[in-house]
Amino acid sequence: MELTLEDVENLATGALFVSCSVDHESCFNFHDRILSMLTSTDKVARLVNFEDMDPDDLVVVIGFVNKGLPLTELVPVGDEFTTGISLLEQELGTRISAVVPLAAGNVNALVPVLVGLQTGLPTIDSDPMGRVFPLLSQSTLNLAGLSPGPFAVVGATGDSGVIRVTDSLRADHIIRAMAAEFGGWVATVSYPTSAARIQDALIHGTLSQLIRIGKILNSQMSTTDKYSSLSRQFGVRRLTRACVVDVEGLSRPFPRNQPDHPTSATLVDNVQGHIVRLEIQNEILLVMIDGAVEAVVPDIVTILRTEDAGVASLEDLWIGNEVDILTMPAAALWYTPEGLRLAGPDSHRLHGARRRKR
Amino acid sequence: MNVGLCLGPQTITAACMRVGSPPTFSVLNIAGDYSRALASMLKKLSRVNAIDNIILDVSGILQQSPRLAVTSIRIAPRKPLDHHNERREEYLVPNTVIYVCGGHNSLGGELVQLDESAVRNIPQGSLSRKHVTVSAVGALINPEHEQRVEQLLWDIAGPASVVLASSFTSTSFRDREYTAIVNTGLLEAADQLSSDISDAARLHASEARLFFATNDGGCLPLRRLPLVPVFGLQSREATTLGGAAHLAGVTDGRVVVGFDDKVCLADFADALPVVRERWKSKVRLADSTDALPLVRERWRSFEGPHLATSHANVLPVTASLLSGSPAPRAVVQVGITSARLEQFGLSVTHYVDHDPAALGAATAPLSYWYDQYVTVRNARDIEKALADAQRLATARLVASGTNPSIVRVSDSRVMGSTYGESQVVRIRVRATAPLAEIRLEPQLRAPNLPEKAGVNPWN
Repeated sequence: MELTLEDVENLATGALFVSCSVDHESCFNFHDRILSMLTSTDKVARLVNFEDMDPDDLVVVIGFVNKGLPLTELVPVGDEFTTGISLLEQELGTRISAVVPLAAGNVNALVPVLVGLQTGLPTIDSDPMGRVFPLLSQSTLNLAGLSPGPFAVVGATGDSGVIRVTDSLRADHIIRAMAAEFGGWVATVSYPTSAARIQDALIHGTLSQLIRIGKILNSQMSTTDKYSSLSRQFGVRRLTRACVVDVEGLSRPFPRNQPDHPTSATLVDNVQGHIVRLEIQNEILLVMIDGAVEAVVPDIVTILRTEDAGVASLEDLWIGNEVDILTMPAAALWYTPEGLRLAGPDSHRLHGARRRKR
Repeated sequence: MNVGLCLGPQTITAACMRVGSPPTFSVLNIAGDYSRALASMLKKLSRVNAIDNIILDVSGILQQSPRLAVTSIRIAPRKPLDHHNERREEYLVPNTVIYVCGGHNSLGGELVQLDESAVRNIPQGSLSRKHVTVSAVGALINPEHEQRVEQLLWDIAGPASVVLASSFTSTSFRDREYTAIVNTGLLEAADQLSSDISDAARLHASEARLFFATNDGGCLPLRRLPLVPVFGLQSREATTLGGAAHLAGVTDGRVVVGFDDKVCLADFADALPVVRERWKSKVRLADSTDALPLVRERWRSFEGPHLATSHANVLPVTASLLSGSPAPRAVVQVGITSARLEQFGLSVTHYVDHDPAALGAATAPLSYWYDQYVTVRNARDIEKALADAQRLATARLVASGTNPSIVRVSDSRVMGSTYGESQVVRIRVRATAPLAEIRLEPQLRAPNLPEKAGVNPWN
């Protein structure tokens, strides 16, 4: 499938919907770069499935890992992933055939499309998270026992290297430390694996799902109709519309080796009088209404602007601002005992938080 | 008496606030010289009562200089690979971009050395008597590279002005640079405007203190206008809604204002409009009556840059916005036609003949934001940083002649940054003081300190 300009726009909107916490500008920035290449060159962005691949094709997972200055401050110059791909090809002595996003959410959902335009490599319509989790190790590839290394890293200053590591948690610690040292982020090219082997370890159809979500949100439908469509097609639930009354930093203990402090936001539903609590650490992890858990990681939680159903960001959580809070189920794999152990509430120190039975 | 003045291209609207009396409005059509019209208005008002404070909404006449060009120096570790990866916003203020290697990380350490030779090698023609902005990666934590380049520019090139992007708070490099460029484009007009206003006030209200209304619903001393005009660029929305809220007696909750051609709303908390952090701007070009987008996009782009200023969250009313939200506390109709309000099923609670913006200016509180990123090790450090910020914010208002007993800290927050360094947090504190309650004793008046651009609008 060749991605159209409209597909790219919808992909960006869908990518923000499932991961609204990171500043949206980096997503817009990559969207604009893709559109620049699509409109001024004869290159095409290809989205493919594993049926289109040869079982022996070498596939890699690509995406940014952050700790420090954000992509909006330390802006990538454009050669980071092509350099990383070349480094890994040299290391392995094999050509790479296709790329997979590190996460189907926010800027990492767009990265493979841009890299595909730069290199001619197709993007596979699959990913190892089906959303965005804070840690590299919180992926289906880890659940499947695949080795992340050797992987290539490239930083904002142009520093680069190849790391040979087999454990994904160890890989996360190394990459996160390098991200801080490189200034704020690293472009990673990891999990070099054959198509046949990696296929069973990924969640499929996730980018095309983002495009469909974005198509609904970018449509001319009324907000009510948009919410109905999202509910019907993707199981999205609008939990509440509420007004921010407090934001508190460093609000609870947090796991070591994760970037950023936890933040809590308290909101009030001024119509029903409900008290709403959001627990945030990199992503929105938990929603409580009047003390009952309504959504908790791995559930996807997102916030929309009330005026136009546009995706809001954590910057909109200023005192007095009103937002709609929605939740959407993550991929089924994340609700298995193994999935919950790796990326569920306990892994985020939200011990015992379980969604209220509905 | 406090006077709010709303300056427009054709008219000056005044609202006078006296303790214990309802506000009064005056409108003056401008025929000929602007400063004479302003002097005439002040002369007329000062006959009624002595004027204590004059707060001006200048957004209606603040314009970009039409022939101004800006040289933008971007300090970053590397320059974009090609034009696809280059930022493509086309500012109405023409700007030439020069890349210089440098920048700091989020803990303030030097990421790469500043390439001073690149600055020295810039052709003199690009800098001499030119307006220059300097933006560096990581400058919010450590502005050293911006400052060194600024010093070099003054030493070797003699630019007309230098604005450092770190004067404006945003985690977006693009937004800080953009705000610096827009601010630069307004400097000339703001300088002339504040000079005209000061001259008029000296003649007819020499004891009055002068302020300008800001985008967030507050106000700053007029002496800051020639330095940070961008903070008053879009104050009209805030003053309009603020005036309507004052007329309706609303301090908390939602206020809707209907005009003949539009309906908008804002939420209020403790008599202040709720703010958002960044704002996508429209500005007027000189000699143009239409508001033009500052960003011209060559293709459909999601969003252009934002101005890094706090602004009142004034929104056009939509059905979606109203459904599921609490009913507005007041619906104010300006003028006669309420058809637009009826479209949304809103019943008018208050009518007003005049645009309430002048009243909003008259009631805008003196306001100071402390908004900085700080390095902390533990919860105690965070508490200390918050307390320091609150003390500084209060001190700024007191130094401007405010009685400490009426200073209120209306916002005081600490936040981590998503996927950022856990040692770096953002401290954001707002202190306000109502001008209506300020009765200055001569000994409390602020000293005339030398001005310089700083990290925030008051420095």
